[in-house]
Amino acid sequence: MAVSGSASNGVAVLGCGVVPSGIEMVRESMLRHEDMPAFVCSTELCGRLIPAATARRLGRVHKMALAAAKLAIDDSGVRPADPARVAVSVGTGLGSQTETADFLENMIRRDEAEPKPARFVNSVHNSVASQLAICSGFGGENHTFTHQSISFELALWQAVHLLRSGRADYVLACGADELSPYLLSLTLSYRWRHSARQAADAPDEGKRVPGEGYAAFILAKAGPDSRAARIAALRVGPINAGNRPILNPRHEADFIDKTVRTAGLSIGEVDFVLTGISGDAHEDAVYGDVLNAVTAAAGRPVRYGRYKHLCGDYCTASAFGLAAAVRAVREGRVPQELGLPSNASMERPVSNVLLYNVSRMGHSACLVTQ
Amino acid sequence: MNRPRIAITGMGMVSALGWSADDAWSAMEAERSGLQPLGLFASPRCGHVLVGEVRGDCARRSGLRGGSRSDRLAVFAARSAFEQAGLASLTEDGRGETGVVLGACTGGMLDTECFVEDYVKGRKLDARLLRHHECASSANAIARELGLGGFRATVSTACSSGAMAVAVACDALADGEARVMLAGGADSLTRLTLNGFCSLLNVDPGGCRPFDANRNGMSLGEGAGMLVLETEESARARGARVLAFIGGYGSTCDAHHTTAPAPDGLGVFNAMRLALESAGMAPADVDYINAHGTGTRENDAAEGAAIARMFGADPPPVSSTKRFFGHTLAAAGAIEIIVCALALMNQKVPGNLGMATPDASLGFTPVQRMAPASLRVAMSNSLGFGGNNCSVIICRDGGEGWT
Repeated sequence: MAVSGSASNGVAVLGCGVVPSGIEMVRESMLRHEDMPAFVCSTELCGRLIPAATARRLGRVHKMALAAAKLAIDDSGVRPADPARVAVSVGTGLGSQTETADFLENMIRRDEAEPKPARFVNSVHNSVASQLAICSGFGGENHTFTHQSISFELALWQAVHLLRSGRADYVLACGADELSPYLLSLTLSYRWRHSARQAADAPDEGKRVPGEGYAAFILAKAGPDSRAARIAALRVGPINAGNRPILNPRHEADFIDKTVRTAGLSIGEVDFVLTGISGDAHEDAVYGDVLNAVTAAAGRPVRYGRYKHLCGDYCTASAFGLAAAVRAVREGRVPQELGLPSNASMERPVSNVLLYNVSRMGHSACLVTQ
Repeated sequence: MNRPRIAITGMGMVSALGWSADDAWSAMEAERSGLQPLGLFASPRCGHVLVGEVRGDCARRSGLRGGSRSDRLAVFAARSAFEQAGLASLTEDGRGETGVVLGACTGGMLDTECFVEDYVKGRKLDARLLRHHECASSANAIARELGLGGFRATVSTACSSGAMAVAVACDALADGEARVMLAGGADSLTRLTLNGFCSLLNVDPGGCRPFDANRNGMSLGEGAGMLVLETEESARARGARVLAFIGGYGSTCDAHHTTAPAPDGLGVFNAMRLALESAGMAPADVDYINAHGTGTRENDAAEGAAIARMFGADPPPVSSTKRFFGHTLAAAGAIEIIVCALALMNQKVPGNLGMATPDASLGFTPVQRMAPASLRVAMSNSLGFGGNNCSVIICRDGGEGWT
């Protein structure tokens, strides 16, 4: 999917909201009873932003997503004239694992005798999107994508389509995934341990750290005079047909080049590439190869950085990455914490930032411009 | 944005009514419900309720040795649709440009429940049970089995997922993301959903009676419905047989309650209105409505109010086909779009099985028995938790697949 820079003004990011997180020790998984470091979001913000009566029956992922949405709406200053023309588009890799697990454990422990209906309702993947609609009154289209590491990008793709086709005036887009022992058991424990082994072999590379995160955005079709950061191009998809695709750096460089060109730019005009480098030695090596290929195509070194050392790794971490890219474009400079030690100076002004993520589940490239 | 006409060139279905769309249509003609006692797993509290369970060897039929039950249902339906569309001989390049959008709610939950049971009971844990937990597993399985490398997405909007997946696939085709898309939904029965809906007091143990004055709840089912969608230009260029067209679609959210629909049906009404607008049609153009019609008091009342408001005192024939299939959750929207296409192709309106006493408060009486009719345009409604509404227009104009 591409948002053409010549055919339209792209999609404006009017507001961003991110629930902050910090590193804590959490139980690694249901398979191993050891603690491990992970990025965990503070619930303190929810207490301030979400009315107690609303929060009472909600799960963690719902409250956190509502807090992120509140921050994004406030940041945008938007008060939609017609809430029925405001859509919601959510990406969540695994939905509300805690609520699901609680319902299941109770069901099994009590032999189905005393079920918890509220937990069941919260276990449904689109319960986050519906809570965002209920609490904000947004009655437009309500989408939920749950496709592993490209869930948020698909939600963003749908949001852009809704705005371009005139089916919505605004879209509240959100990425939300919670950390739980179930999540770590489900998809991550093998990878973390694999990563940990690699880290032991190459201690300088650091170690991938799991996390959770909730980031929301208020999007609108950009007008010609818009001064907001814009999503000028977006591409998302699987690597190929297989579940274990072989990543080809040249194909990835081509994928990035096509994304940038749809916005009428060349790769040489991209000021900064923000990557999903995570500490996983195998995936990070792929990023390195891709960036080398991009550098060759650009004819000059490409400045690049990362964001997952600030939020951890989870299915919709790219939502945090988008918020970081938007911040860089808004401020006209790359925050020091996004850079890599080996990079050139971060002080040069930026106006075009490319967010690039790749994993065996899929890849995405999103060009954010001023 | 100019939207291309989207043709349906293949349909695959597996349900409690059998392993093909033709099986299902034959059962509907014979007024045979697929609801039976639960056999898939033991359920101390809910084992007595009738469900729409798929009978037969899913692994053998799907050719999928690994994967969850949902994966197998999805792959079987996708392969059936793919073959009907004449895509079995598609080149590697062609497959590389073919995408998948699947609606899914339960994913590999049936296996996850075994993992959680082992955990709760202190038994040795087997992480392999979690390998296919994610809803995305089924779309990935389809892509892997059929060699499809194009756009891929999993949509999870509860009971409207299948219809929303079709809408998203149409959006992807309009955006040029793929030349051909497989779109639909798949879900297996699970203890989670059966106990969940029972805990909400939403299940009629004796089987659902949609739009009946004495209706008392829904019946769960399982299955998969998959459609091959492509632009009319693509279908014509490759000489494909067009079965029907997706005329348009509309989607809204009630923004009212997590489970209950807005009583006035305004969200459903607006979804139908937007669907008609996107199809460039008026209410009078609709010849048949396949209602969501779960058989719960609240759903049928809200949807009925919306239909009465949209179509007035003389609505087109309306029926819910949930008593045939059970409510197959993420598969329901896609299965019912296929039912609409079959209705157009066969020029018959499916009957509203299970209704004995029409609900006078609805303002219309659903069609009780399958009946011949002149049909050009059908509307399929899907409603989900969270007030998620999706209405899809299916039409025969320009198609050549009808009998």
